Amino acid sequence: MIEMIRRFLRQKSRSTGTLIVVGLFAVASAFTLASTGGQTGAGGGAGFLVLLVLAAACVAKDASGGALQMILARPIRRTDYLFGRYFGIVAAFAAFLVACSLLGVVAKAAWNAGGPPLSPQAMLAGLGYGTLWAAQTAAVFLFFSSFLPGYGDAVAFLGLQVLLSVQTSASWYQRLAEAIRREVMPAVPWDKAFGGDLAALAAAGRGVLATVVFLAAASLIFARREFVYGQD
Amino acid sequence: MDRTETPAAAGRSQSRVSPVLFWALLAAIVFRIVTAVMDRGGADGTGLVRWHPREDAAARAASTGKPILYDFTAAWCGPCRLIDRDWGTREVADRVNASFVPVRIVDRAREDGRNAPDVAELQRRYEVSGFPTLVVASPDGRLIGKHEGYRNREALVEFLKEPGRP
Repeated sequence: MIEMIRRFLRQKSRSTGTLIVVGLFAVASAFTLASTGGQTGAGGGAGFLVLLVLAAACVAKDASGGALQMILARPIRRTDYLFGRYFGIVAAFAAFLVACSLLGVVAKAAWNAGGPPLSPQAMLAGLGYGTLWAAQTAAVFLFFSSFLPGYGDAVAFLGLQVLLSVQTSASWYQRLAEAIRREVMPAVPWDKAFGGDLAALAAAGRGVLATVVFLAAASLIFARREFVYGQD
Repeated sequence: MDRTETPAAAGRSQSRVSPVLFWALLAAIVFRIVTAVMDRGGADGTGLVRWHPREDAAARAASTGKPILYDFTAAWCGPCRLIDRDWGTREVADRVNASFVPVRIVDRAREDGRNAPDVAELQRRYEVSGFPTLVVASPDGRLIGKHEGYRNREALVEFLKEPGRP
């Protein structure tokens, strides 16, 4: 699996477009970090877009290019490949957060932007919580990526978010959307969960279970898929 | 996959859930149950009051002619547990069940990062800025009375008797 993680990171580091987008967001987040004293805001808009760039079509690209078939022809488990992609996404996002932190320190030192002084604890906490958020969100991407072609995973993820935020007078729909938001895609306040807040811990419990279920489902679907050369 | 595996064994091992994933799933289920049990009792304390689903409250209020009593609460809110204790007393519960269509509105913004749209709309409409907040509204949604925070049972009963009194 380590080899698959390395392969994913190599792929992403060789993509100029990915590097430019991630670099721009890292600089933007670094200034946020410098002015807030340690919070990058990752997990918000910028974090989500970076994760989207890293995770979208992570399996489909390999499948359509024929690389996946070559990889699976070797004595390697499909789950090793799949989780290599997953941990690769999480590792790449963690690297993005580290880059944000380092750039934030530089920005603070060079321009001495206003706001509170940088707090190493806040920066470390931001790294940890951001990575946990990425692990949870990447599992949903991986699930969709295990059976949808092209950028279908990104479209499905965004479509699901839109569907869940639709306001309608149908009470059954509101209840269903609320149940999905609560049980399947909960927003976990990790800082409060680690602070011992019981309600936040319960949300963490739902988040962890949903993540593992998404990974297990992705693994089962991916293990049963047939890949043919020249097809996705 | 072991290089010495037969093709049949290889096929089976490919389609099986890996043991690590199986144990991770088991651990996640246990974690989910433990954290849910730890969190239980908070905002679920229903007492003796017969709470109605918020979706049906307006229709029920219109058909019975009773005003709606909204209990805006949250799982993490300490004073809300005091009011929950009062919902469990016969004196308060009988009054609430007889005079109102009681509805509990549990805030989930802190846990889930957001509330359901209808919950957010109710909080906006009645300008709920803290918990617990009791709101008495007519069946058509007009505000009759509002009681913020928790003082004691006497004050609660007084509000339930005359919710429109300032």
